[in-house]
Amino acid sequence: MAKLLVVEDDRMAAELIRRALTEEAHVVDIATEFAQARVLAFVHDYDGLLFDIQLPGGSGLGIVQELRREGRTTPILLLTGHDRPGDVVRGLDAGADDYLTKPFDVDVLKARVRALVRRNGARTVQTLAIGGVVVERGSHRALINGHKVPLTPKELALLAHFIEHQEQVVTRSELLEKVWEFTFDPGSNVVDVHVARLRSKLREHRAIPRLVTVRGAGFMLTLGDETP
Amino acid sequence: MSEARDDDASRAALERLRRWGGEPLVREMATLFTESVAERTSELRAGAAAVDRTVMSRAAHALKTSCGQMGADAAVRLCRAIEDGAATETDAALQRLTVRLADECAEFLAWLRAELATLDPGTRA
Repeated sequence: MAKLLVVEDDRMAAELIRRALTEEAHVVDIATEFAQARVLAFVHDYDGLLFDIQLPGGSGLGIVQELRREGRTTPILLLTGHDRPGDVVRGLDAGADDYLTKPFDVDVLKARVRALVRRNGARTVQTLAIGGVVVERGSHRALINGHKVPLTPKELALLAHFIEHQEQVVTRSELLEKVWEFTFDPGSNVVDVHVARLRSKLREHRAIPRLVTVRGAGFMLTLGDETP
Repeated sequence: MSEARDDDASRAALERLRRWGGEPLVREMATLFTESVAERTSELRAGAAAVDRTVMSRAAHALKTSCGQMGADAAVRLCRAIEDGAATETDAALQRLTVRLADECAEFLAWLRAELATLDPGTRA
């Protein structure tokens, strides 16, 4: 469950990568050209970046170097052609952590990204918990008081985000960005609907923490009795 | 000039997609591939006509990725020849490669449509 940026100018490859990583419950942004990739990489706090090197408008290597110069430690996986060993060397020297050659096998891609995200372990805790509610990122499952609870991938990502920010107000726009893949408000009640479903499942399984609505602000997962 | 194609490699690529996402994924990727081929070969022709080697190299690079993922190895080789040759080949040589690549992609798409029809009669890329 990580937020990832995939920079790939080939739509088919980008769609395959997006599907594979979404299956792993990651949130995926796609950039198809240099300027867009650079903006997204610097503006958002990603858990991992997947970069094609040759992009319309510039080289992905330039962005990798710039990120490292700025002190960004976000793990980076390069996507390269198998016929481009020079790109691999230049990419790793520029500060990338790993590389994957195209065409890629989907299972290998998933495993490489799991390893990439694990390198970010200090920022990405594998097991999240609050008051008997547990999310295990590795196995993509949620437990309440020791019992497995069936959640959709989106509900699981939502719950993980709430646990990571327990006892804090989480805004709708933050949820849209971190759990959904929206950088804008789609003008729908998608967040409220999913929060309501998650809240219902928490209640149904007698979870101790409560998912409360903070009027005019957002939502909070709390062990407290009082609604803020 | 016709390229040496490896249908087994192409079938293996389709099979990998099918195992992962079933026939719907194969069909969806075939559609994206078809669109990508049309878009990139058009860019290549425009690049060749304008003698814009940057455009040609970029289009060949992007198309190489799609072709590789679909197991279109002969097209991959031609994409690579254009990408690498953009800096060194003559204009005429690049134009010839562009024509060969467009022909190869057309042949591969025809093969792909036939394969899809055997997977699920009535399906078209």
